[in-house]
Amino acid sequence: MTIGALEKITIGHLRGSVKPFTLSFERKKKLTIIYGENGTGKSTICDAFDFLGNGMVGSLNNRGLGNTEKYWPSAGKGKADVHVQLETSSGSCTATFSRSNVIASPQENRPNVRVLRRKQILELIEATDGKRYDAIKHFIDVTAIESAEKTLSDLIRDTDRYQNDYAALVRENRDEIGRHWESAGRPIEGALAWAKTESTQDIAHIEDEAKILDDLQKAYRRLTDFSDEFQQHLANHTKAKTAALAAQEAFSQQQSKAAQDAADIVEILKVAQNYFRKTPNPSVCPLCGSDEKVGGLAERINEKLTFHNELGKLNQLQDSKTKAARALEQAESRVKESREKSATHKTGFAQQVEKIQSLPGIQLPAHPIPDEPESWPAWLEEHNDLLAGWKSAESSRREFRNRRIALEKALENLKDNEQKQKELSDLLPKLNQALDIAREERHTFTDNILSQISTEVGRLYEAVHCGEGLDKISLTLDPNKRASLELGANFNAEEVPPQAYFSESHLDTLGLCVFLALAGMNKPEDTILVLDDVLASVDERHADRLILMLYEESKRFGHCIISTHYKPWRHKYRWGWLANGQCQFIELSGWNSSRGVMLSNSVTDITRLRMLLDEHAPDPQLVCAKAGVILKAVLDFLTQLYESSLPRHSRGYTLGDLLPAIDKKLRPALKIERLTIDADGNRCYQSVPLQPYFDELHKIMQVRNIFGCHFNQLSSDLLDADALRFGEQVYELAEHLLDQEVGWPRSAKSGEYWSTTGGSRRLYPLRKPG
Amino acid sequence: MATPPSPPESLTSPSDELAKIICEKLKQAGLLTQQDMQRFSEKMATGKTKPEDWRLAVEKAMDSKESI
Repeated sequence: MTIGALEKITIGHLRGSVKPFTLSFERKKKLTIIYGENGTGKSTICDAFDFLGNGMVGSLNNRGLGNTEKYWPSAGKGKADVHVQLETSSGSCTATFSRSNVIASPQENRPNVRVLRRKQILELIEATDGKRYDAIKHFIDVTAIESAEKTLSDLIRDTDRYQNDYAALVRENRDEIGRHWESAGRPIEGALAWAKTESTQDIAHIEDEAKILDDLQKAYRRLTDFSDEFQQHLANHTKAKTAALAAQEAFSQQQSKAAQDAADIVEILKVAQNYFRKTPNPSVCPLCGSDEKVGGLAERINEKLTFHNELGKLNQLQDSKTKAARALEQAESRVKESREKSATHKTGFAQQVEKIQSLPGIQLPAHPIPDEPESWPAWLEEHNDLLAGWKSAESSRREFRNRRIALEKALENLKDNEQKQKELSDLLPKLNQALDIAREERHTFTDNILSQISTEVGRLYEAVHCGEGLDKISLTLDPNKRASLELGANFNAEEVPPQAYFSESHLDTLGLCVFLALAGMNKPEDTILVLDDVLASVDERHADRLILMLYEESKRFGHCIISTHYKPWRHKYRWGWLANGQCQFIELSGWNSSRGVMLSNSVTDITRLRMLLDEHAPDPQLVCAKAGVILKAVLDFLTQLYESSLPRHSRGYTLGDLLPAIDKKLRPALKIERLTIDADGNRCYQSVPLQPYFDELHKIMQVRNIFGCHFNQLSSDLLDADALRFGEQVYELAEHLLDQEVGWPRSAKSGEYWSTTGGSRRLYPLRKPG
Repeated sequence: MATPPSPPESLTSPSDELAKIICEKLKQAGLLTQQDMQRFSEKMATGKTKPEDWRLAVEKAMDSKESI
């Protein structure tokens, strides 16, 4: 979500907040510093942001507690009691437990929170290359693009293969055309040129000629077939005629043997024959009763019957004769019909011969086919060789046509395959170019991001370790390992892993810088950055710069919360050494089990002096004590700025040492110009000479010791008004010199005066008068 | 590991961002048409690009260039 200005966070029964605790944020201050001794509840506040934004309490991780959720509620409370509510200028969001999940409501208002804790700070540095890659893979994970590249690479490989295949086909097509050219006897120079010329020639007439030749052969074969058929009819006729004559002859011969009443007699004889089979030796004739010639009667009857059988044959011969006559008639009819058909075949053949006349080189019959089909066999025999010639002529035309079709097909295939090969050969370099672009852009993209992170880490690191030459931090992807990120640093002009040579303090800073650099890449303006006690092992010299760096970097984030127990930070804040205007300084007092987390008033000493002076009955002792401390801070600042001479000794400097150091030459030259902006937004400066304050303070400086530092009789002799006057003078001097929002005027960039950030104060002179 | 500062969900992924850059470069090189940029960029960013998508896109761009 886009985060609004933080207004307040309420923490109920989470960790150390045994009682609901509310922390209000000052408007227009995007940096909140939470200062507190150990055990005052700093981490509870950081945990609350973690709970709200990430649904976790990271401070308990890696403590060997296993599942830590049961420790998230305050002692004696359950999960249902835990709630954290953040109110911002754009709405509020409340996080609570729902069973084992942390629910933020409304979800759309859930802030983006990034938390870095002290114990985690080294993990980014000391992690393996693979785990380090995991930490930043969100920024450089382009596996989808790598997948697209792989797809394109596969396509290029396949396209190359297809192109080679088509090239082989083109060669085959050319070879085939070459063979046709060879077989055609190389009519012209160049097979392809010949093939192209050939393919333009019309071969429709070849097909027609082949058909005419085919029809001629068919007509000739029909003649042959008909002639054979006719000859067969003639043979059948002759045969039928012979058979009819033979039947007639046989019938005539048999006819002469047979009697007229043969049939009746045969009947009588058959009865007698049956009788004699039963009575083979009768004594008399059974018909007439005479015994005359009775002997041999049965044998004679048998002879008679044999004679009459010949009559039966006569009948059969009669039938045969009739049938033979009918067969002859039919044969004659077929011969006649066939003869009639012969004219049709003759005409048909003559027509085909007529068609073939136009073809050159075709041999034709020397003379026409005879009218009488009886003469055809001789004619056919005479011209039989012509058929083979016609067949050969037809075949040569068919073969020519087939060769032409094959040639045209080869040409067509050649054209197609050349076209496809060309398309692929045109496409291939484009695909390669696309792959090169994708790869190059991916490398550039990831290199840029890593370079950006490295540069950012280096910049942050240099801000802390200024001039130490350790800003050359590098993050590199190992090309031989997937998802592996190496961290390097320049140390004594050598590229080394920082873990090997850097001190723990330097590694701490580096880890923090890496975290800040990464967090800064994620729309920092929408992010609440929480740094929980990250300033621990940093030494005093680097701590100042680290704090300034954090101040500067916090401006980029939606809000930055830094918890610390680093006491000098509080000191610097109280004495205006930090850009207080941009930060809210919160001090936590001691935690206890009944009150929980408690805030402590944290105001600057100048504000505190004002409050003391504004009391209804100001306490001179308190006013003088506080004013003395402030005056000492003012003089400490000025004497350092103008490099004033001070007596050298080992004890700390007193007001008695410091005030005279603002000597007679410097004092009249000191003046402040204070910026005021009127209602119309016009900037103008009000000049305030500082000498009157120093002169007056010089006179009344002793009241500070009398009232503020010691118990003595003198204090009762002096007026309280003197003490309060001392306080007022110090307050006014400090107010003129110090802008509590941005600190002391310490910048000499103008070349004329010392200025605060933004120019709210201008301190003259730039150099101490000679 | 420290909580890695990952991009909010609403942000475009590196693949999204890189896909747009690559598509722009492809377009400048005449390897992708303006018309195909959006669709192709989305496919590329989600890892759904197929060989035929690449071929079609490049051929279309080549045809378009030829027609010009």
